[in-house]
Amino acid sequence: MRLVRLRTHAFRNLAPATLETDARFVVIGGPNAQGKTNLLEAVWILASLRPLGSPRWREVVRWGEDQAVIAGEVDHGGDVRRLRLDVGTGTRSLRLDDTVQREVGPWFDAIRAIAFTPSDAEIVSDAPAVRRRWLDRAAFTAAPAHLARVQGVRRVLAQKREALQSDRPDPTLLDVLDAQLARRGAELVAARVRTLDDLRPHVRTLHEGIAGGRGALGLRYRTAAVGEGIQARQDALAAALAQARPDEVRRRRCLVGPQRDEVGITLDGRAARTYGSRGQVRSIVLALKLAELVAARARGDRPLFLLDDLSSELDRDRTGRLVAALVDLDAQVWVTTTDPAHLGALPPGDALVLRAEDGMMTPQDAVPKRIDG
Amino acid sequence: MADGPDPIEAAVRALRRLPGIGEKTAARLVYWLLRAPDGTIPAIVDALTRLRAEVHPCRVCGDLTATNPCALCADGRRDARVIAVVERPQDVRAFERAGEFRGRYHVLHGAISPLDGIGPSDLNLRTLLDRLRDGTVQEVIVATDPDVEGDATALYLARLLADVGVRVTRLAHGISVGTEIEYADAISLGQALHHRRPIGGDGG
Repeated sequence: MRLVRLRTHAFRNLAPATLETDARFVVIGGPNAQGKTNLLEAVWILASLRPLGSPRWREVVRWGEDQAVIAGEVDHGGDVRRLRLDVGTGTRSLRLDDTVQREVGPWFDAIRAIAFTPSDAEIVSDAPAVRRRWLDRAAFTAAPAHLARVQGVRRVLAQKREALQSDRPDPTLLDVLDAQLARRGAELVAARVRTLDDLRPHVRTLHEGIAGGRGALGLRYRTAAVGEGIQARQDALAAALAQARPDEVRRRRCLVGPQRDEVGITLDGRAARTYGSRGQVRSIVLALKLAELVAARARGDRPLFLLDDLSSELDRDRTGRLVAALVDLDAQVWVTTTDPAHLGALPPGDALVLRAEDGMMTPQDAVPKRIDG
Repeated sequence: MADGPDPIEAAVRALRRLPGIGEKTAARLVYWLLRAPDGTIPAIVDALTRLRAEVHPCRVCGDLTATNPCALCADGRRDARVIAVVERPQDVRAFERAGEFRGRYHVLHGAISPLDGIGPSDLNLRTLLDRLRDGTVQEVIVATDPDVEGDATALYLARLLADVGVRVTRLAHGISVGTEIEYADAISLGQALHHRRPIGGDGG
């Protein structure tokens, strides 16, 4: 999967432009506030249909314009898919190979990406919801059908929350909603656990290697939906829900379900969230993100890998190891950095270095000098 | 000059209230109507007025109809042993276009959705229970949408009908017919896999 053409119009502060490249490494350099991250975000939005971080959609449209366009072509080993996303006020429309799409399924067959940004440190250090979101995204990257599981559970929970607001909730209605939550919740949990199991060995290897982390890294999913297989998880969750019912009705809140689960990340048995230093947190997050890419490769998948503001996140040693690993992994990499020389050796003839200035991207002739050692 | 807003503006605004009609389309329709042959507007007005005056829910199935019971309920050739329960009258049209179903219908006029303020008591369920009372109906096919609300409605119905002694089934969903698996998108394929069924006995 290689994004070979990217066009933006009225997207944030980017000058309308079309970028064509078959490079495996696209490096966007230049000082801060010149549009580097915006270009990376355009790629991310195309690949995920969400803004980077969690700003509002409205903000991606350039001030004074009605509609932003992000369009691209993705080369799948000779088979080129054309994608176009229009973002208007409160509206978004998708065109895949010039055909309007109502469902996102086919879209995500055409493009997918894994992003590593400075704010990802929150995966380790923030509330459990952020870790669940990371795991759901990883599961989605591995199998887009995961999106339906996440949305389904979210919807059931919204319905249940509403039903619990009523003064005397209909018990049969709550039974039905709990049955749905048990079923869909068990499927969601099983998929999350499976994803974590797939990632774990890679995370450990990468943590000790490229990320330069020390200590035994533990990843554990904690849930009320315990058991072997979906049916067992469903039964366990149903039992927990039945037990919590009086409490839930009294407090008018959903107290049990996958929305309360935790992805425990430990270093030498201690919670990384509480005890991890800034450097340790970075190593862990890098290992998590890179593990997604390695696991994808093991499946024969080649999502794009996006790195934002690399130089601020990693020291030169780790950056060098990371870039060398990415070269081996054969994914297309889009990276922003204030200092392209920081990246070390890029594959000769397979790298495009752009300089961002005032929302304009200018290709640089000179590939940064190889740095030996 | 007449009082009130400009008639063109008023017409555009009225049409814009229809689903799927925006400002541009509404304006195009209004200007088309202004040039349309005599009798066009009265015919439309008459048709719309009759809608309100003559269409009612069928007392048997709840479908919207000008006759009571509706033509489908009155048709003695249809199989009275099977009832397909749908959310909307449009769903009855969809089944009829498909032409495969020879049973009868029941229209719920909605699906359970606390977020939209729709509980079980807001659905057309009482008449469904009435229809099941005499033992003629042997199977209820729950043909609600394959979303959370459709699922909740199906589960609710299954519980409601558990003691009635009818077979309750749910419409299958998955890959569209005509789609080769290679080209099915991942989400649809995942759904289809999830709703797989045993082979044999029933011919497939």
